[in-house]
Amino acid sequence: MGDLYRILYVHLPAAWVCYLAFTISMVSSVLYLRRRENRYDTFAEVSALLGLLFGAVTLVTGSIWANSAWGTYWNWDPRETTTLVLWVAYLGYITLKLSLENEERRAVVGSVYNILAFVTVPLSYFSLQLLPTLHPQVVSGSGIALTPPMILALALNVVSATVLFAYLMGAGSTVQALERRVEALQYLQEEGR
Amino acid sequence: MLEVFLVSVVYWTSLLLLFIWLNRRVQRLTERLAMLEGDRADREE
Repeated sequence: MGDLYRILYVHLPAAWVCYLAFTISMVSSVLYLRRRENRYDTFAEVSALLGLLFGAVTLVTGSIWANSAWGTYWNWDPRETTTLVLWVAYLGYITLKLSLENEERRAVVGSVYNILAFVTVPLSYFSLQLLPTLHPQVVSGSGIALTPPMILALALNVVSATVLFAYLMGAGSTVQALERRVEALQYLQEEGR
Repeated sequence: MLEVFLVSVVYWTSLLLLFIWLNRRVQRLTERLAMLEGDRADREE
């Protein structure tokens, strides 16, 4: 495999951010349904979009590694399959939100779907323990199966990926909030108020 | 290793484009919002 093992430094942080993003998205949807404040729906949507972005990185880098380790880009391993199911479930969330015109209905239906779609996150994460898989288990109950320099490099990548996610989350939420404010003012202007 | 190189190029280019798009979008929306709020303030006067 040679240097290709270094793909781990992109793959694992991307997978971590993917799970983190979908968890934040689900929590935001729960908060929206409880408090009915638009900002929570915005957080849920932006977070899900970023989860899809980092999920795509996870799937692509995982496939490249699989081709080197297993001789094929895709072999329907439980980890690959459950992660693909997770990704498609959240693609459905974004598609659902794009398909509904009424803002409140879009937020409510999207939030309910988002909470249901979250089932796929633990399914993907625990697929290593629940199903027979070829996917290597780097972090397990018995510790981390890496040398100290590798752990340090990996930790730095995980932190930087998380910071990148936080920045994109902030910028994406700002864009969404500004778009909503502009739309509201345009509506008032058209109504002549 | 070609595929790793190609994916790296796509990854970093996408991130760069995303940064540029987000900054330009925020700038345009802020300008539009300032214009709309200015119009609204004029009408209220």
